[in-house]
Amino acid sequence: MNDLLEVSEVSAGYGDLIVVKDVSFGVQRGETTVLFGPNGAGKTTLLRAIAGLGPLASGAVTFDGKDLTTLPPYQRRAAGLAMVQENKRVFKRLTVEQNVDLGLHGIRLSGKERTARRAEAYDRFPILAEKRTQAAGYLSGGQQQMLAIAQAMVSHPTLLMLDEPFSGLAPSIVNEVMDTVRAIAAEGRTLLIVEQAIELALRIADQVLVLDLGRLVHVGRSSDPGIRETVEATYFQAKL
Amino acid sequence: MLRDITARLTEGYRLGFWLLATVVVAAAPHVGLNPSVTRQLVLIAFLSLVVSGLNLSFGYAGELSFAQPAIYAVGAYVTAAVSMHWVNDLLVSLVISMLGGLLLGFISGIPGLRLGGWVLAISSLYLVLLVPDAVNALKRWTGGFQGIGGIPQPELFGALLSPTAFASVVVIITSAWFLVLRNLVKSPFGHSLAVLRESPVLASSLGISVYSTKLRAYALSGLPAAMAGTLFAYLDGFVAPDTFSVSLAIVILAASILGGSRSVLGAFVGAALLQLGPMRSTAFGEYAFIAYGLFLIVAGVALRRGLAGLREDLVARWGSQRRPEPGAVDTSASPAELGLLEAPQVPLTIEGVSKSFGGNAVLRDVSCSVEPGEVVALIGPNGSGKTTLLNVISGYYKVDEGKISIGATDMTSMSTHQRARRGIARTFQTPTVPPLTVEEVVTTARLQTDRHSLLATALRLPSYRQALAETRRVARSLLDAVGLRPFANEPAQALPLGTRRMLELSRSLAGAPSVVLLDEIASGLDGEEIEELSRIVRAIRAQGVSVLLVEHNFSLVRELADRVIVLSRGEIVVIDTPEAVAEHPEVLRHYLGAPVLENGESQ
Amino acid sequence: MITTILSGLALGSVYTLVAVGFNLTWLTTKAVNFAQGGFMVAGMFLTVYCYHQGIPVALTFLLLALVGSLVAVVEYLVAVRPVMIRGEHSELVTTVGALTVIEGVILLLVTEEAERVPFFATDTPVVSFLGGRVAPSDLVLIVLAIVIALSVHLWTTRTRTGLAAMALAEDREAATLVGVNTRWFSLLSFAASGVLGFAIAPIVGPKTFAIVTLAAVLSIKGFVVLAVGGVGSNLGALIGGIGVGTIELLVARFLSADLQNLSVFVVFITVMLLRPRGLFGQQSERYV
Repeated sequence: MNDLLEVSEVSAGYGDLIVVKDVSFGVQRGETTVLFGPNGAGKTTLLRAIAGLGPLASGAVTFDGKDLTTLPPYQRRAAGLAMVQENKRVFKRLTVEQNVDLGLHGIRLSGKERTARRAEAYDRFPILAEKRTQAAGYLSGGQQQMLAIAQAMVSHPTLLMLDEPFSGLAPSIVNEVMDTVRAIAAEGRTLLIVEQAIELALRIADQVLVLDLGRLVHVGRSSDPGIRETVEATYFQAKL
Repeated sequence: MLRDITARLTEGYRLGFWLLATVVVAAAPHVGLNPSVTRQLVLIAFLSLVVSGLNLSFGYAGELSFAQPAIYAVGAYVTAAVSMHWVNDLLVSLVISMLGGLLLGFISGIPGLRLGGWVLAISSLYLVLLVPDAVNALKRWTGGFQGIGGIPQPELFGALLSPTAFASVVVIITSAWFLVLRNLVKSPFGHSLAVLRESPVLASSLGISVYSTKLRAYALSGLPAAMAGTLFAYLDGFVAPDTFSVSLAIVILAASILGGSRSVLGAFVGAALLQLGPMRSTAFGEYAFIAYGLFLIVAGVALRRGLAGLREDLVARWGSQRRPEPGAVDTSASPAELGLLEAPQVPLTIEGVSKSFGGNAVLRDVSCSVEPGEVVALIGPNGSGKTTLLNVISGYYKVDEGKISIGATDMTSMSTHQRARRGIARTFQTPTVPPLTVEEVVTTARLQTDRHSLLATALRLPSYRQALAETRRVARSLLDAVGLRPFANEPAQALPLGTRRMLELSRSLAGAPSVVLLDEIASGLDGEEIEELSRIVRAIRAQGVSVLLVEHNFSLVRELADRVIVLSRGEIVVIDTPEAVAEHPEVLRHYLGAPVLENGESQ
Repeated sequence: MITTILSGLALGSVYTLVAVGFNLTWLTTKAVNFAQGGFMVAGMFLTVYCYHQGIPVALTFLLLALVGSLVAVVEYLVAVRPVMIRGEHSELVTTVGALTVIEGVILLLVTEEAERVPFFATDTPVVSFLGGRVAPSDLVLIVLAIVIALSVHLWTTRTRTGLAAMALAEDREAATLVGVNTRWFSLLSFAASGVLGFAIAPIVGPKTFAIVTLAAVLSIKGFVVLAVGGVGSNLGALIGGIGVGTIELLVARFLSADLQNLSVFVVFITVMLLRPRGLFGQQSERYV
């Protein structure tokens, strides 16, 4: 199986507080994988470790055949791995335009190609075109989220990682973001999404992973019968 | 009991040895010690006094201030003025200088209080820069840039001190100061400095006022430098401003690090090494600066957490032989032992609390309460505001609206350490323990309840000894109750995570709180360790304490909590029993996301 | 009066240049490089040496730039990068150490501890300007300070690399995720600060003279200006520097030379108490 992303026996945490324990899974090209799990399960820590923001206590991460374990985040980005962090983390003191441009940082493109990519971003999110010169800090939560996604997409990533893209958004905005994510998936991109909104995420997921208290407790497909109940059960279930 | 006697004996021996050493060294100049060696000894004494001042503010309290040369200058010039224009008596000069040192030390620390490390460092360096200007402006008493000569030979109680007698006096004074310093540092006061250095956030949560502790440390750090200034003025009868330079400040820093900024005698060792080495030979002098500079770089880089002290690093890394295994802790002790600390049983009440950060509303009109003898769990999805609520209750953030009270006392405008003193204790998700033994860590929570005056501490008066014995007794009982007693003398930082959490728990009880806030105590732990923790929490509840528990681990919540508060997007969704909450459809919805239909309506 | 003001503007320009040097490294590493004053003083002595050796002006500048970038990069690798990750103020101690090493090297290599630095190897007389008397070197100094401060400011706001530096300064993690090579940026910004410090020395030197003990003073006062203007702001460095320098010399001239340094200190403390973030500084967001 030619997985685009291979995570093997990864443990990660902060000092001696290990919150991800011995996790292994693969993400197939062109598929959308969703990682579920209650708070404190270690989902964000895992994603950060894959992106290179935190050291691995043990294990390895392979992307597109390359061993990422020692690569700093900016090199992983160049390799085609883009991450959209939770909490709509864009550069709030910089303008929308500047944020989008930063998404192109370090990528070798001609002037024309850059303009084309920017146009793409503004096509996908017309609201951003409107607010081009505004400081990102003044955008609404939903707009910031879209900006964050635009910033990542503009680099045409091979693997796009999203950490709770729907959290903290008003229901109508959730719809919009959902459509965007669907569209991106439909383009054939590979997605790894962390989400707690089971209903939403199950609609776009191909592969389903469930993390609980740091361990991977379930690997399945969204088409599996009873998958929803399986995921829900981890939320208020007794552990180990 | 036997341990106490042994400790007393050891301390007695130590004191005796110290006195003996002092007498021997003080007598040396009289029994034929070479005058130039005597002079070196005296110079080392001066430098070590000044360095010890830096150790107090930097090594112990963790704040880098370069004010020492300025205070040294004050001591010297005040002595010159007093002895030449008023009365020439060593003791009088010392006392007046020390008052000046106390004052200048105190003032020099003020800028850094709110503004942090860099402002403190720069403003204190600036004080050194101002010395030549001040000296020149007060030419009449200071002799200006040329310096002032003709300071008379020192007299003590009317008797003129010969150079050898003076040297002996210097030794005695220096030794006395180091004894006092040792008494100050190895005491609850010293522990409070260690806590402050480790984390001001932790210090506040234990009821330690960060500002007042810092100011005390700065003021005290001025004493030895002023003393050294007085003695320096009398040594050659001449004082010039170029002695008190930025270069001296750097030498002092280097000596402090060299000898170990957190070791009592380190100041002496560092001073000796530098005085006998680079500062003496002029040949080395050419390379002196390069050597000092390289040393500062290497020391800064090599030692963990900045300049924490090599010993502590070694201890933390290799710990002791007996590292407790997770699960080795015996919690079969009767929970009634916790009952020795009676605290008023009062509820924690939160009314209409709202908090925004930069336009984002993180808490919206939150109201709830925790009754005595109740465990309330606070749960919620990411971004719900749980952590903020906890921090608001602790006092790290001020509310925009609303009221927080403990019993009848309105705490809304109180600072963190004030709330801690009123009975709020908390733990942190990443346990923060200073480099102290397990027992000492527990006693740090009693720094406000068992106060010792600085004077009693410095002189080890009987009142101090008694109070300390009582504090220790309380700490040991608590350790017994949680099963950590065998590790009482182990370095706390060497403990594994689960045990550190237990230690934090028992520390949080040491102050006899009415309310205990627990921040994700189960995070990262395995089944057995969680079991142990929950037994203790139940014991705490049995005592009538109000417990608020932020927790992700729902099975633990089910076990422990009487009620559960569900927070989502800053608002309370529901407050009910764990079972009810688990089956509440709204709750699931908040965690799992509102199911949204294609046409944008939510179910 | 005008003479004093002009002189003050020139002195302030020196402080501005130190503060801009601080900004360059602070943006990318969040470390204020205490050795910056040492870069300038070392550059001054090197200039004097070149003058004595008869090395042409253009070559002198080149040499200064090369030596400056080298020294700064070495300092970054040895004294700053290893302690950056700590999060504490360890770089305060290590950069003080670096300054001391630089002072030590200068002492080792020179014969005089204080030297006059001729302006482009000539002795130009004082000229009349706007009703006051001022040395030409001072005028050049003021103009250069304005140009440099504004250039760096424009670089951060208008260029791609400058934008990346701003992003880095705001949120290092997010910057590294979008592909900003934080390591390179840190290194290059140090090199740039070294070039700035060393290469500006021939212009600053005539005003201040090359004196070893000046290094620490420049760093200290440069920091005061940085704090007053707002850490990270080059406009702040400019306004702050000019303001502080002018106040300093006005006090020296009309009150007393002894109050000169004190007046700067008073300004420092006052601004810190009233507006801790400085004139143009950013309010740091409280993250939950």
